Amino acid sequence: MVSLIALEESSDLAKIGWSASLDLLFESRRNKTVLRRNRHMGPLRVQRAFYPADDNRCHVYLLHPPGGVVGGDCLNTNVRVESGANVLITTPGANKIYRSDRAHSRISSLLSIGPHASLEWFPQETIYFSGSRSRTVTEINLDKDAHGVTWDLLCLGRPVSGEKFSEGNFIQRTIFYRNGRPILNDASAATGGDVMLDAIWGWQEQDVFATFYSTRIEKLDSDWAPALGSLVLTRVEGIFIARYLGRSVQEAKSIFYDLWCIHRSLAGEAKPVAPRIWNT
Amino acid sequence: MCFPNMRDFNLSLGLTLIMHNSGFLLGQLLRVSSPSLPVGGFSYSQGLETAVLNGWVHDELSAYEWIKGVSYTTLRHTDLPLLTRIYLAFREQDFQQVAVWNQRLVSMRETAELRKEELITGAAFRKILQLDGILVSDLRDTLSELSAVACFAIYCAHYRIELKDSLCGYIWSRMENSVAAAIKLVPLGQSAGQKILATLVCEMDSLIDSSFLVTEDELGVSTPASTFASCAHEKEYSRLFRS
Repeated sequence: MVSLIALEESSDLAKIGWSASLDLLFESRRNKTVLRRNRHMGPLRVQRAFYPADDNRCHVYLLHPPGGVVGGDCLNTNVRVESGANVLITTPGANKIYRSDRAHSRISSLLSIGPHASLEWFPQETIYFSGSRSRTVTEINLDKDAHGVTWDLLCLGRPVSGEKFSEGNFIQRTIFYRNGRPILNDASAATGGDVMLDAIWGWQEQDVFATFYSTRIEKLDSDWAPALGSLVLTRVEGIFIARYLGRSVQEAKSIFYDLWCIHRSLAGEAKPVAPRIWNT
Repeated sequence: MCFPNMRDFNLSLGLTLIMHNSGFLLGQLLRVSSPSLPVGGFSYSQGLETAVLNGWVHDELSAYEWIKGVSYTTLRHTDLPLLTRIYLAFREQDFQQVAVWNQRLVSMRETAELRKEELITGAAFRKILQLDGILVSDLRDTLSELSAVACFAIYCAHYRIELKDSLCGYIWSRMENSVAAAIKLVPLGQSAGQKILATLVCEMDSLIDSSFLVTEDELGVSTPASTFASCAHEKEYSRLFRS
């Protein structure tokens, strides 16, 4: 189906906006995960791999020096975690999507997790400024016995400065594949000023919608009582999903940190130390 | 009311009558557009039960707004565009593409409950396809897990029911189901239910038209509250509707 809107957007892309791409490959060597390939084009990069915990998990920070995304930007991240490797990837700060008059920005991440490998993918929250236009897709390909844990943190507008998401639109999508077969295609979206934002059947006047995914957690003990009312749980095709709808991204992160601890303990790994960069 | 469109309508109806036996076509469509028959969609409430328990839905107006807001968002972005794509692929006998869109639809059911509903009603619907001899071996081999939406699309494409009529039938079955659930849960009177249906029916055409404009990267959008309610419903202690 040919869409006029899509054609218009692609011609916009050619005219304005920055393209950046990053290609990372991690391998397990002598029981240690190493960053084997690190190629980048444009302002998207990682500086070095490091090992803050006493394990073989390789940590990297994904850096995007412009600090925000404007209409027409196109960011592509490609991560391959080879057999047996363990990786944690996070970002130093919130991802800000700035206002754009017409062009959409596109952020695409393709994460492939090999057999017996694991990836912890924790980009910090995305802040959708009023008037921003964007499409974000994160695809996670799980090989046999591959494990992943990730979250999606969405903030509408900038409540602190009284800015509501009154214009623009976004779609943020996470797709899981198991051996190439799509098993979960989860899309969150909002259109600025839409009745859905305030409606009881929509966003219920909340600014933060956050989702946590884990391939290890099956269910939680009954004594696990998170912030009731703002969190719900489900599990589809081996993917445990927790969803938060509320006002505080810090609250969502702290609940998700507890879930991450459970994920780690099910993997027989040590309790995670939250990356130091999250505190800055 | 102006009539120029009525002339076109009568003309196309006339053509339909020449080409097919319209009673037969309508009958075939009605056969699968009831939520109680044949596939048991009536046993699910798509989160409405939780919405009532939480007080989000408590009267006729809030029931109407919930049903319209939730169903129309999901129908517009997921059910209808995928039904259309599967219908067209089946008409082309492109079973590989039918399988791709079917899997896409299933993967877009974002809670265990919604997914179970899709697949259980799909399995029941599959029996009708078998009964009617629609599920030819090529298709059977490509599709192990059929969604209810795909079955509906395949059924309508097989009988050459017009695409728009097929979409109306599908929307109707979902609307009738939701309103029947609201009547039981809120609870509402039958005439309140009829009023809600009457308003929803007026919006069916614009819903169908807007679903045709949904591009591939817009597929699958739902609303946070409906996802929330469906998740929470899986844990409710006592339920009228299935999870």
